[in-house]
Amino acid sequence: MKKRKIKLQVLVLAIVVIGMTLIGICVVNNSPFSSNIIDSNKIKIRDGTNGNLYVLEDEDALSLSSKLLDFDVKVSGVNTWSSGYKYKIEFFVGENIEEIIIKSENSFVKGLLTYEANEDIVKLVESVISK
Amino acid sequence: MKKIVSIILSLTFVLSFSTNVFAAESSMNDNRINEITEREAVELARWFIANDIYENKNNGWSESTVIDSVKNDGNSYIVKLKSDSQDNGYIVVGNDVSESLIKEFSYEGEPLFVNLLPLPVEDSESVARNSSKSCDIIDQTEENLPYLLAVRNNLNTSLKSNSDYGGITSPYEHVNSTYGSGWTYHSGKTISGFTLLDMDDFSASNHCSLTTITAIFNYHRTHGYSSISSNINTLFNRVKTIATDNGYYTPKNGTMPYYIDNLATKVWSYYGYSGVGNNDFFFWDVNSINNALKGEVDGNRPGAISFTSGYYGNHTVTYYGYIFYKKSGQSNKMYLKVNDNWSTSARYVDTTYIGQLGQTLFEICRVLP
Repeated sequence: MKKRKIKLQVLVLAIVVIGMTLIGICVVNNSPFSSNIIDSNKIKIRDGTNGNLYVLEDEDALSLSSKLLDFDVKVSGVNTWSSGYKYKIEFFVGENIEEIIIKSENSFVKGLLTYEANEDIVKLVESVISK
Repeated sequence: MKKIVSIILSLTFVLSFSTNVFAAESSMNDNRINEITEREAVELARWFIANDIYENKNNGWSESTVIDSVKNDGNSYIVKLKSDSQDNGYIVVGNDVSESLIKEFSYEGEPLFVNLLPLPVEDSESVARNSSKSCDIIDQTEENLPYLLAVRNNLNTSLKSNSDYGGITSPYEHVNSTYGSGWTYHSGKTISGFTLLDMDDFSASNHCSLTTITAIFNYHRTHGYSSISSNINTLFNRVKTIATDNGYYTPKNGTMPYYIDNLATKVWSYYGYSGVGNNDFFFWDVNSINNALKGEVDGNRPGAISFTSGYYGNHTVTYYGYIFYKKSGQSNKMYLKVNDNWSTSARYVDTTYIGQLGQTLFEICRVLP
């Protein structure tokens, strides 16, 4: 019983250490966007309220990614799995896909962290897809 | 305990994004170089048809040409074709990359040469035997391999893509186009009296889980639990209030799936019943996933299923039915019938790859009266 408890504690400790290391790496690399999203030739946006999918290509994709890169963004916390979002954006850069999940006007999620933006990201996305 | 599970799942769900990158590259290490599988044969046949339409217009095959059946006779795959329910010929695809990929084809009729026997290896450099039942073998691996690898890469990309499992409107079409033709209906069930809801009809943000719980309790209301509110908006608002008051839901972040079971239990309790919610995170394999879901539907208990990534990633849907498809020599495929909260039409989830490393992870919340 005691051995089992120790094993569990070691497991939890290992998870916490791995988690903290990953978070540390992400915090150091503060920006959620890699600069190569500017090279996205395609962006997919899914509306989390009605499931509609919007696909931006070429100039439209470039326009959205450059506006997002201009945002002033800071880490606001650790992402925990949650259900429900406003928009999910996938940037197709070559064979890689970068994904962000917009939760509310100023907050979004990428990987392990949540971020706060200085501008209304929902408004930006809606202005793009309304076209 | 819930906090530990929460940490583990959060980490695995984030890491599951990165495993996709590696998953796509794993095909390069595929040891199965020579053998052509049925799925690959079907894909080769599709490419051949597409190329034929491009080169010869619609003189033989056309956009309405579909694969009717695939038979493996031990040496080849015989892919029979139909167009508008009429015979549209066949393509015979080799089952080994060292032979011709496309052995014969016709826009109508039955295969002529599939029963030809290859010469023994020691005779392979000689001219074909003068026999109506023999042909010679020339190793064509070098010439064929690039085509086969392209097909494999294409299939790997489409299968390993997390986007594939959800939002399916025609499961019959999906199973036959994804896993090769020849799949037929085996069994199915839909929970009778379940009303589909659209989250867009409710005033809130990030509220898919709340819509799911509302749909589940609305079903139970009509099946013996009459104290539950009959006004759908009142019921939704009650679910929302309970979720908000207990910290299970915020308009900014939505709902943490780990707490959907607690929410269901609290809603039962609010209406004076002793029912509970029960989350399931871990399953051994696809059969245990399918059996768990089938058991719930067979017991007339709609439930919630939340996904970490892919088509329904960060979203919760309501399951209320299933369909199994069968094919000789293959395990049955299950399609889970869901109300995806994005429309009031049925959608389906292909359960084949969910829960596997590199694919979406998920949680089921069983709601037990």
